[in-house]
Order: sequence, then structure tokens, then C-alpha cells
Amino acid sequence: MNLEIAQTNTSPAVSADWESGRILIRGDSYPENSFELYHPLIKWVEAFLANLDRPLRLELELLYMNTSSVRVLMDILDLLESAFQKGRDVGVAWRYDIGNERVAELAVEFKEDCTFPFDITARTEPA
Amino acid sequence: MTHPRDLEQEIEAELQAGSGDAGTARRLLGELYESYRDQRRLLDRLVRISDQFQRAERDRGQAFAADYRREVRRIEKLVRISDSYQTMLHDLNHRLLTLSTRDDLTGLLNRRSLRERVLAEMTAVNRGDSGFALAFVDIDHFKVINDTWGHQTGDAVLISLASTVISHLGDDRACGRWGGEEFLILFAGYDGERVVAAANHLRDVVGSIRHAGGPDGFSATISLGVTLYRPGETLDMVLSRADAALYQAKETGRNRVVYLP
Repeated sequence: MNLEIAQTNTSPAVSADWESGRILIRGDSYPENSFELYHPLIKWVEAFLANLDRPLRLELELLYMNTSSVRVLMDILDLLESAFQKGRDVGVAWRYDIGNERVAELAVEFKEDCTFPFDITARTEPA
Repeated sequence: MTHPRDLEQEIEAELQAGSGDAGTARRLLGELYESYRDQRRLLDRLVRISDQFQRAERDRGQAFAADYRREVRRIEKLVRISDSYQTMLHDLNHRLLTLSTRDDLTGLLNRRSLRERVLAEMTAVNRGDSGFALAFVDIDHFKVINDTWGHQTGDAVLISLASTVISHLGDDRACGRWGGEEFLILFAGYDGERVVAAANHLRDVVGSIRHAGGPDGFSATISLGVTLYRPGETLDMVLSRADAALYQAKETGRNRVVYLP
């Protein structure tokens, strides 16, 4: 049960792989309705955590996000945190362009309340 | 077991009859004690249940307060992150605006932006506002400066001229880099006499600046072609006249101002 959401000018590419337990979100995120856009992803994460016992890894390469997208990402991180508290193996890898330190600062803000592994790494090569 | 009310009535009756029978008194006392004990058990249960209710209420209140605090923290975090993104976007916009309107080397308006500014002034004049003058400024023998001292020094001379013009005019939206070593200055509200005086003053100031190069440094001079905008004419017409004035300044020896009204 893989999930693919194609990238648009205002929304990122989203892919979630059921087998490998890997989610990738890449691009800008300022869609008109973030909750609608990300609803399938939220459901996917909930189903993965409820039905499988495999590790789940969220890889983020996000640049700009509007407020509702920030809210959705916080909700996803909450799901991961709650799973982690129950002993699940979850983690986030946030990659940002080395020339854009401000994105790294924002990633740190997101990381603040997370106790699971949350890596923030600079990327020298464009994606 | 006798109901407490029946027991009460029986005791009342015995007291009024005053039989003095020890057996009856003992029985009534025993029943009274049992009744008291039952009432106390009931009361204890009631107190326990009431306490449980109070504890549940308190726990619910505490849980609610914790939920509330957690939600407030989440909202604060959301607002903080969102604000940071807004700032980032604003800064990016500002950078893009600068990149699209300013000359990269000197920070002056680029040709397109200054052209728009002059067109806006023309519209204002044609609506009845006071006039303006334009001056083409060209650094004399700029190629020689580049060839002698190198392009970095040439760039430094361009930057120096830009900052001198801006501080002279007090308006960083009145001068632009037109191309190469040529600049265009907009003198809003100036008449012929005033613009010629301003142009000559600028020429003196620029000529007095010493630039780094060689043991003693060097100075660079400028030539200026100045003209007034005539209401109704096109941008090309006024620019051609300013350009012709600059050409004359160059042809007649450089380091001078030529005014073609």
C-alpha cells in the first residue's frame, strides 16, 4: 500500500513506501488546503503504525511551509512520538541545503518536543 | 431487622408504658445498636463514594488543565514556526526585489528601474508637477583605469562614484547605472541653473577623490551631459539630448559639464 502524491508548484512530492517504511516529503508546501492534501498521508502513517511492527523513517527536504502545513507536520511528528513512547522504532531525517541555514533553524524548532531520533543534516549537492 | 422508624415508635411506647422489663430494654437496646451500626456503614459508604467522585472530578480537572497547557504550547510553537517562515519569505522577497531592481556591483538602481522612475516623473510633469533634469555621467578614460590598475580598481572607482552621487543627492532612487561606466541621474524639481551648479559640484567632488593605485593613488574625472525634460516629449527624446550633451562634453576635453536645455 504505497502512497504517491505528485509535486505541484505549491505542494511537495510525497512518497510513502509500505515495504521499506520510508516516507519522503520534498519541496515547498503552501497548498490551498493542507489538511485535505496530507489527509491520505496521515491515514497511511496511522495504518502503518497500527498494522506493522517495522521501523518507520520520515525523510524531509522541505523549504517553505505555510501555517497549515506546519500544523500537519506537527501532527505527523506527534504520531511518531506517540509510537516511539510505545517502543516503536521511528526516526526523522531532515536534509537542508547548506546555503539555507534558516531552514535548519526551523527544523530545530520542529525537533524541540521530539524524543525519537531526529537528524538534521546539511546537503551540499542540490537534490 | 426492625426499621429504624418502627424501632423508634416501639421505644417511645415502652418509655410511656414504663414496664421496667429488663428483657425488653435489652432487646430494644440491641436493636438500637444494630440500627446505629447499619446507619454508620451506610454513611461511610456514602462518604467513600462522595470522595471517589471528588477525586475523579479533580483528576479530570487536572487532565483538562494539562491538555489545555499542551494545546497552548502547540499553538505557540505553530505560531513561532509560522512566523519564522513568514520572515524567511519576506527576506527572500526583499532579496529578489533587490536583485531585480538594483545593479549588483554598485547597489544603484539598474537601467530598467531607473527608466521606470523617469517615466513616472514624466507622467507627473505632464500632469502639471514641477519639471526635472537628467544627467548622463561617464567616467573619463575608464578603459585606461582598468588597463592600468586592473578591473578590481576599476570596480572600486565605479562603487566610489555611486556612493558619492547618492550622498550628494540624498536619494538612492535618483541615480542608476545605465551601463558600463555610464550613470544616469534624475534631478527632480531642478531647473537649468540649479542642475548645472549641482553637476559641476559633483564633478569637483568626484575629481578630488584619491583612489588606491600606484604610490600616490590616482583621481578619476567625470563628464556630464545635462538637459531638462520638456513636457510632452518622449523618454527617447530627452535621453538623446542628454546623450548629445555628454558627447559634446567628451569631445570638448572631458572633465566638464555640457548643458543642452
